[in-house]
Amino acid sequence: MELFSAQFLIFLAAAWCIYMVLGRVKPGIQWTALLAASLAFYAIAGGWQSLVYVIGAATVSWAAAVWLEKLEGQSKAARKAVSDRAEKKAIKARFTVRKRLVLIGALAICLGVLGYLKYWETILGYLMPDAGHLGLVLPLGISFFTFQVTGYVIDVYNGKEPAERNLAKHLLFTAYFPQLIQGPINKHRALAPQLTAPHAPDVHGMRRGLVRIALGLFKKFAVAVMLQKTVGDIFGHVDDSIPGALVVVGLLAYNAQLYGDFSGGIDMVEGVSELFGIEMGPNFRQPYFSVSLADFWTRWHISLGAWMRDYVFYPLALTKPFQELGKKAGARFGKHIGRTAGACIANVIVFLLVGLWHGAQAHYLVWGLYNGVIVALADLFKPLFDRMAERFHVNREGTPWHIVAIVRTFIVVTIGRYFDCMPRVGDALICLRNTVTNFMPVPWDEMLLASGFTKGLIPGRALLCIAVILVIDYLYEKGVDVRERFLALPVLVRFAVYLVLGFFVVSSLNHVSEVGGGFMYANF
Amino acid sequence: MDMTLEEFIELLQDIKEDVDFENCTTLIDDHVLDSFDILSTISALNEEFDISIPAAEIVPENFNSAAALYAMVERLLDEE
Repeated sequence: MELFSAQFLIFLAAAWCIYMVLGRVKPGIQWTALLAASLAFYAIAGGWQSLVYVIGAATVSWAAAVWLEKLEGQSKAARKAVSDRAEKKAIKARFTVRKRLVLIGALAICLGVLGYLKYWETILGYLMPDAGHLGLVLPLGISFFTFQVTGYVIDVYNGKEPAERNLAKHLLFTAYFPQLIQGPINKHRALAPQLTAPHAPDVHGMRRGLVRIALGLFKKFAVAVMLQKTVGDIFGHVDDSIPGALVVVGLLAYNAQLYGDFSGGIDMVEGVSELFGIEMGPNFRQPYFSVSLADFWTRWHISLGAWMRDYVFYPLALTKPFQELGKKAGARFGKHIGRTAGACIANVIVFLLVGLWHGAQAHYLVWGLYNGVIVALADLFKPLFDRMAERFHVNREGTPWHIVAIVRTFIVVTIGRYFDCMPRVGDALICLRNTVTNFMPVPWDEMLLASGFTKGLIPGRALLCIAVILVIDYLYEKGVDVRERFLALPVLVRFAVYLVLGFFVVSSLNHVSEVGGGFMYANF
Repeated sequence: MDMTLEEFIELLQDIKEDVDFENCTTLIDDHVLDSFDILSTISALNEEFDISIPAAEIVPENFNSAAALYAMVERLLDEE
């Protein structure tokens, strides 16, 4: 079931009506309508086999969390019963071992299933290239719901979150349908209370939700779909002679396509959720206005970044070896290196994992490594950059430098895209080489014809739509609540805007039949 | 804890000189402390008080102000 389909529209209308009617008749069980809708959506969109995985992940994480809370309760009671401090410590240590075993067991099951389904086929391909395919099918959104429930179990283990006793409520948290396709990876404490709280129709919230859905449709169809064929044609068959100029245009198009697809899809599902009065966590914050690569990663796929920060980066950077490394580096190379060395290595590992999260293919690992190393180097050499800025009297607070930093970050991100958008590292390296050594061997028009682009490269209207999105993002960056401003416009103006945006969306539909309407991140 | 809040603030000031630990109550919310500062603060506090601050304690409520950090250290010392 595609998000932009009559089938989904009917499903959404039916789910919303039942949810709101139940909320009026029996508010205490209103959430059950959402659960039924979520399971129905998953069964239709992902098939019943997928449903087994989501129910399995929910059951394992629910049982582990309840068990962890029970062990913590027993530990507290046992410690209360004794007065000797050493004995209290010993009891705590004993129960910590048990809790750790439960946590490891739950993580091993959830992440093991994800790892097997996601990576085994690729690993087997590397080990035994001649072996046939296993035919493993990745259930819809498994990376997202697995990370969501494992985050929850770790939070319960750390005592940051009470365990949910009701399995059905926990299943709703795991399988809430707007988040299933491509996230965001929600935090239990932020989402779960909203899911089970009663909601009456909120006209203003729904209007805001509808505007967000419209913006998401615009990004997805007027930009991402329109550029999909161009990107596919350029990078579909990379050969040694591919002109660098074509590669650069392809990468710029890929940047826009990916942003339109992923952030557009997120806008759509966030908007759908807002129709029910439920606000999910953010996933984008004007990423192309970032002033550094580290800044970019706090604005792009925010929920994955937050998950990695909370459950990988800090725990890893706080381990003894990393702390020791910091001390030794500090003693040898000075305060700054000591402060950053451990964290930089932890960062490289995190980005490798982010690459691996996208897939086990070598190009994702190179892409992760590239991002990790650049972020680490930027941190390590910060004092040098500061000194250079001082030496050359660069005012880093001013607008010109801010623009330079945005452009510089965009270039750094785009270089990383070489390894993100091409399925083979070899292709990415050819493209990188040709960008430098074979930029434009013949005039542009000749080059297009020679590469088979008889009707031009990028549809003009896609460029116009990208400009519109840039302006909207710029306004958000300046702190303007664009949706609120839009809703305050006269009805005729709003109607005209919807008409124009609708034209761009509808006119892209013939491309949908050519390239498909699915989301890129749904495959992760 | 054998240290007053004022002394504790002095200790924090040694870790990160250019931060107003006395008055700022939004060290995390306003991105005054970055991840490196958080890690160096933890490392210094672990050493000073012979405690082990786990990653789970890295939440804005514990790191937004010197007073919150002081309360966290006191609590962890009590639990030791």
